[in-house]
Amino acid sequence: MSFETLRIIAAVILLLCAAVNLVRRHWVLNVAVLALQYVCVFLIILEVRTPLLAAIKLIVGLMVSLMVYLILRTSGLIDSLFSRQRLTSGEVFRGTIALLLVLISHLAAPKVKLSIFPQSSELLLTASMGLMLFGLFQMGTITEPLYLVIGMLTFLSGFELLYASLEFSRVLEAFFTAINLLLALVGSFFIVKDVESRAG
Amino acid sequence: MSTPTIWIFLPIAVSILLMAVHRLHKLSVWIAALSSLLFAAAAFIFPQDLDFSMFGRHFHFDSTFMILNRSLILSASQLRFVSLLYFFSFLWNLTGLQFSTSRWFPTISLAITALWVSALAVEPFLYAAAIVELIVLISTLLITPRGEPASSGVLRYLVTQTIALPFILLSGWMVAGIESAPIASALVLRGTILILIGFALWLAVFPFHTFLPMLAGKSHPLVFGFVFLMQQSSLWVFLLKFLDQFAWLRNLEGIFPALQWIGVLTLLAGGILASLQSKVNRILAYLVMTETGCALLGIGLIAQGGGAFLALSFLPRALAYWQWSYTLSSIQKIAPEVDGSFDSLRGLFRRLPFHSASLILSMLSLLGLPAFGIFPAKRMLWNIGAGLTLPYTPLLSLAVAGMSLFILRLLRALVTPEPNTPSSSLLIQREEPAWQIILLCALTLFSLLMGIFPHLFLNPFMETLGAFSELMPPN
Repeated sequence: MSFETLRIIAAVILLLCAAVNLVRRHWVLNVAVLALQYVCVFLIILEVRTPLLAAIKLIVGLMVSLMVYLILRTSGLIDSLFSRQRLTSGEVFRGTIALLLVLISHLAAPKVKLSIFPQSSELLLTASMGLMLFGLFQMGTITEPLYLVIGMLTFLSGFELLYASLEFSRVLEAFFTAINLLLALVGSFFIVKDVESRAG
Repeated sequence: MSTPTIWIFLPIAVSILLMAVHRLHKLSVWIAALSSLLFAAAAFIFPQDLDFSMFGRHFHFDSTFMILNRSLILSASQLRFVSLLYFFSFLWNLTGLQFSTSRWFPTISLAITALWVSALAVEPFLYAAAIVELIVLISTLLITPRGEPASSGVLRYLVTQTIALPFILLSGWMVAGIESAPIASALVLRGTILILIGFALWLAVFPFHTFLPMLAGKSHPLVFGFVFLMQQSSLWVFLLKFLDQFAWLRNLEGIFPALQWIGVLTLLAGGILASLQSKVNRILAYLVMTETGCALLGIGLIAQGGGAFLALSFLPRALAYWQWSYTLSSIQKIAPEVDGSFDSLRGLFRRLPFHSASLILSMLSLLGLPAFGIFPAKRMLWNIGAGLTLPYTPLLSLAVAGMSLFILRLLRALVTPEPNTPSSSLLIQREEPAWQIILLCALTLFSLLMGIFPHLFLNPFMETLGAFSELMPPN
């Protein structure tokens, strides 16, 4: 399998992960999919970054996912992965939206490449725009802290992917790392407060 | 030694130290307040050539600190503003002793101040967008109320500020090397739109302001006042930096009128929405909004002298916010049954006359009532704005009328007792400690002194924006 094919598969899985996070409300699944999303980002970002630098994003992403998982676990909020199977009407609606967002990012990528980001590949643009759109939609429609943080992390991943194809700066990479970790910390803080207020 | 080491890394080191002693609340408050005062005083008196001699030894400070091939530059002309930021931190930390805001307030407030200074010092300056995001994330830990889940206001604040990050960073990349492009090229317009949207989200201008009243209603007044005073003051200066460094932006036809209109509309929205408010806690959000409107109008009128308005207004505005936040926090501490609604404030003037008067006076001060500290700056802005374009006059008047209406409604609530109150309790009941009365009177007196003798108290701050030599050429 060529590296290009691997990247295409990674992009498809990436968008699928973002879609699952938008559609399904199953915490352990969401965190697992978030971690997988970062693995896919790593594979796509290899196009514009050395493996060592790309690995930083992977490690940070996995740390963020682990942090959220641990806080959910210690708060007693983790259900079994197979505890609920039936789709709700809300999930069907969000699934339709997810399809629409994938379609938009796939169709818009060539035009965006031509008019705004000529140095970025179409695959990278599709992936980054898709992530940003999914993140935006999630941020705009959900007020539950966990999903909001996942939405923000998705949005930032998309933006980091796009920006990586435009410019490289060690300082900025350090800032992005700090932002991701701090966001996970803030998300964990919100989850704990939520749990405490429910218990109280 | 370099200036960024003193005003960025040293405060961050103190902040990390404070994390270790955060359980000793009084100690950490005193350390944060005194170190902030020290940093403020040092920045205020630091020599312009960054050279000085002490005990027979000569010291020279570099203005640049290199880190990962990028630099933090804190020139002498920026130090006046740095001193203001640390002074704000000092003021707010000083009151931290009295109120149970958060045990982390001293640590986080000092870190936030140092990060705002670094945001103004980092080169390329667009990277400051990432620092602003870090500040927002840290701030959410403070503004989330204790013992309650994260409110939708906090979440909305986080989302709004995060969305601004790509706009600012992409604008810089998009317009790199644009100086050679024709002034009205599509690229320039695209870059300008990205910058304006980014700043609109950051500054919560109308209609992106919805999280402000939600936050103000839930957060501690002191914390809200501190976070947004620092944010708006630093972002105005950051916007000036954009205009100063990007020649294509400041030379773009229509950019300054656009800023003026955004400012006027935000001011108008703040004034009108304030007039409809019946929760006194939320009013600080509208004050923040109207002040942002004034500042944007001032930046839009920079060629006509708007820069002087900004420079003269930093200190009196901060003092008025502080007075308002302090008074409201103190009222809620003395009378916990006051939940901020007008009903709960009824007849409060008889119980807490000095606090009630302080609430009204701090608002009048922000409104720009003659003789108060911000009056010289506001008078300058109204004169320039009203004299420039006819449509501004009625809109500005409407905004001021809206805020005045709120003040009158608040005054009525404070002095009018409940209908069935027994006549014996209509007499003045003194529930205020003497030292608080002295403090509130001193604050009001200081504001009056600033307004009456601006040349004494405010002129030293005229140089605050001296770093922007392209935008405001020295005379």
